[in-house]
Amino acid sequence: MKKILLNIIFGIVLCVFGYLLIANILHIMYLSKYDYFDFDSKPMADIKANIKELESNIEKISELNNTVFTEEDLKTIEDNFNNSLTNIKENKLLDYKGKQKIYLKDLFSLDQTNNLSISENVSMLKLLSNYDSTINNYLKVYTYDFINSAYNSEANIQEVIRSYRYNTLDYFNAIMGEATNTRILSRVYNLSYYVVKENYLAELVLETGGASNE
Amino acid sequence: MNKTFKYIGNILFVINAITLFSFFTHILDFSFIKITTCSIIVLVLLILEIIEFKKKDSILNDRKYNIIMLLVNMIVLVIFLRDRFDPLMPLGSIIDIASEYSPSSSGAFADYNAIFISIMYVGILIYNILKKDRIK
Repeated sequence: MKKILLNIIFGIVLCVFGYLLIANILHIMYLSKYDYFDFDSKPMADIKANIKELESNIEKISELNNTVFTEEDLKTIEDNFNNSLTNIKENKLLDYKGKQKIYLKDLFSLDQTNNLSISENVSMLKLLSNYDSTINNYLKVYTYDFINSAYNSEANIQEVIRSYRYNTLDYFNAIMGEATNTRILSRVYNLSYYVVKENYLAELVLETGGASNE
Repeated sequence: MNKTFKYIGNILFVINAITLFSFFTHILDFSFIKITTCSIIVLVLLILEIIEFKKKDSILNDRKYNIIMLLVNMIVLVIFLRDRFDPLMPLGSIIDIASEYSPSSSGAFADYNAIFISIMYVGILIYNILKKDRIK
């Protein structure tokens, strides 16, 4: 009886060992999958050009003298743009150069440095609508755009986090998101979209504030 | 061969035990009970191993015992090493919204692996106790 029990225990321990071994091997193989992405490509070049334009627009905003904005509102606008610019520059996508191998781990850390949030754009538009009532037309579009992109980004990020985790118990049913070119591009265009939007807002501020008419 | 298994298995076990106890400094709240249970099992097994080490009819000379000791400690070491060298990946942790956004705070191996490692060490511990009775 004791011998049978000892054999059962031996078997259970071996089974658990086998399961962990297979799960670890599969997970290591899975995390070693990669895709190439050229960080000197047109979308990245566009982002860099747009960031320069944004910097110059922010500088113009800070130099506004005869403006319709109150001092407090102007400070809020400047703080918002400076904050956005810092968030953009902190994005790890801008650190890569040339053609690079991108692993799931890279996507994971890219998402960790992504602090972009267009919720500030909505509050900025609300502020601008006090000075120009026609901006109210964009406000609804921006609000829904914000909600849409917030949920889409959340889904994107969650997928990578869940894929990256080593979910031992349900390993074989775990989400298997690989670092494909499309997944990298979605992050590139997300940043691109954010920078373009910030630029558009900066131009709107300059237009409303009077700089374009000077 | 059995002697090689015995020495490698036990050296790995000591390394794993030290690593496991050192994890206590940075564990997640939700895995505290599991990690404590796992550590207690390992501690008891470690004490039994030390007592058995000098005995002539020791369980440490049993071939099956040495095989599971070697295999289990190898996979546990792999899990610990993977966790140590990739702090972004809390091995085996459950999907938890609160911890998803703070990967730096969840470096310790956490939930599921603690359960699996505990099961394997409990198995070894029971095997050790039962086999010892039979020898006597």
